[in-house]
Amino acid sequence: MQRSTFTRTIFTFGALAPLRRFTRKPETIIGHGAFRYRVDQTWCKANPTTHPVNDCHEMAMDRSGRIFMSTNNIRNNVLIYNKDGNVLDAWGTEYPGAHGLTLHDENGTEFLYLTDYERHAVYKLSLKGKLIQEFHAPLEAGLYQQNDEFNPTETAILPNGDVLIADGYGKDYILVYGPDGKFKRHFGGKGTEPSSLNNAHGVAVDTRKRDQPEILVSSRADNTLKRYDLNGQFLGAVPLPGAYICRPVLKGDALYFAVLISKLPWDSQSGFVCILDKANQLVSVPGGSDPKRLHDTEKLYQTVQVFKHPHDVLVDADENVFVTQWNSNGVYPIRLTRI
Amino acid sequence: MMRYLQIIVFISCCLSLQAQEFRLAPPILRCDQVFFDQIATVRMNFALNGAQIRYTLDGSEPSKTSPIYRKPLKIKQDATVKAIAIHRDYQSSTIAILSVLKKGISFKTAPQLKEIPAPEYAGSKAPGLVLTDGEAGTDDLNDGNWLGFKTDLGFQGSWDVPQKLQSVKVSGFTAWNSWILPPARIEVWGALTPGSWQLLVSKAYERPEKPLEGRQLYKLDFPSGDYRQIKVIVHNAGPLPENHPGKGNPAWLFVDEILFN
Repeated sequence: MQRSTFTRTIFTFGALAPLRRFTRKPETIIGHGAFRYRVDQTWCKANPTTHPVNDCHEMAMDRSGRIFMSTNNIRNNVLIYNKDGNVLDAWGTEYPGAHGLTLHDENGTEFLYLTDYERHAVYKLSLKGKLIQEFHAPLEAGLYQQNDEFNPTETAILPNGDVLIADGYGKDYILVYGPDGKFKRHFGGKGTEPSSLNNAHGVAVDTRKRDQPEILVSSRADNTLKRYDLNGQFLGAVPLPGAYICRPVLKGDALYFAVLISKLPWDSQSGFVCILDKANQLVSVPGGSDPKRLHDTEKLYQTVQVFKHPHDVLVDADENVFVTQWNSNGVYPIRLTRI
Repeated sequence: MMRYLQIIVFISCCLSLQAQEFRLAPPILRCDQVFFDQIATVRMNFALNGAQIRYTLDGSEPSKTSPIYRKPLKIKQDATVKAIAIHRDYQSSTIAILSVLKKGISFKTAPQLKEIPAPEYAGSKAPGLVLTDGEAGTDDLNDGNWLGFKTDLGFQGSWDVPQKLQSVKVSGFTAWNSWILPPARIEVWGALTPGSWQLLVSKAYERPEKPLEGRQLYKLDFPSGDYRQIKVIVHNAGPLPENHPGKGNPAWLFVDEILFN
């Protein structure tokens, strides 16, 4: 009986195979110029019943090429994939607002920094999920009245080991802590000054100009990237009208980021990915408008509905891009294979 | 049992055949003046190689055989522009809609509102001016050109000399997930001698299960006549319906302009 069912199943597949050849759509290729990609929606092999996700927030890759992904599902706040999209491990049940995920190599040992906007804290963890250190609102500095005004979304580590925390769902400061966890100083914050930040959702250290490293911050509600020196002095802005930038991600000479939406409301399902060159000029917009065909002040927009609400990108050694999504019906990361 | 299995296999094969097919996003429609004096210029954009924009101006649904957009359109009459993006490799987009309207009769003194808009959506000037300044709101409901109400909206304006009127157009906004619903009903009252109000037209709007999103236009025609006073009552949809995630809560009503012709 079982054998017969199996045979028939195979037969049905076999009979449909030629049909499939005729009706299958061409591969979907997105992106522009040198940065073009084949869309692979089935890269991730996770099973939603054993490894459920809500929002897939951010990703980081360790030395051995394993991909860590944060989600605000307390069944497993961190999922760990191999490069083929199989789940190797999962941990974390106590981070209801698991959001920003940054990996840092500290003298040969790798650590993760996980922000939690629900618990109003940042956690330094081992790759196995062991808690090493906590960072809280610097109440003593007078910037905050109470702990729950602090809703961190991102971290980045400076070359000297200082920890930058973006309070992207709170007061939009970039807070600087020493490696010992002591609060040192801050910059940014809500406002209308050139150096102000509004929805300071992501932060990264840009070392593309070797002798002049910079701090890049996404001022997401302003559709702008803002540049600061390592002391927090404002250097300039990179306006990208229409792009609600999640976090800057650097790889080689390129700057990548997920654009959550390109128009309001916040659930408009109008996102895509952007890639900028070393001069911070837009060169490719996978899923969005061709940068060569945009007029000066024209807003970026979605063209092909590959993504709903992209929230982060991870770029691997072969420059393939993995994309996580917020508020997209629990979809796992999509892989963009560079061609 | 086996038959069921075969059916399941067949369906999943069919689904996998469709799996790679993405839909296009709607094209971008822009207008220099949504409420225009003489001519409105409508531009359409969709920066994807190999894609075309097809459009209609008469309110009908655009299809793959509708005119192709090649250059900006000059529009001289009220029109509802509807456009889709099409491409060989993708499913056609949903429809982008932009209504452009010829400006109506203006007011010398600022019209009055019976209800006060919600403080967070109170507009950038006196509420009666926001609704009659010829400035269109954008998708950003905080841009100062929109008024938002959790109540009805009662508008009253007057002129020194009688004006010939035959239609009122209310420009509103709908966003289901932001709890902004179309009005339930709109009434227009007119008076030639102050206070002698007569009902000119009343129109109820049936609410579809999920209303169309974005800017919406409500046009009310009535027999032409002379009036010195005009009153427009836009009725809020009331509590959010059963099929809404926020059911029972008050709905929002958003209006950026009321035009009198």
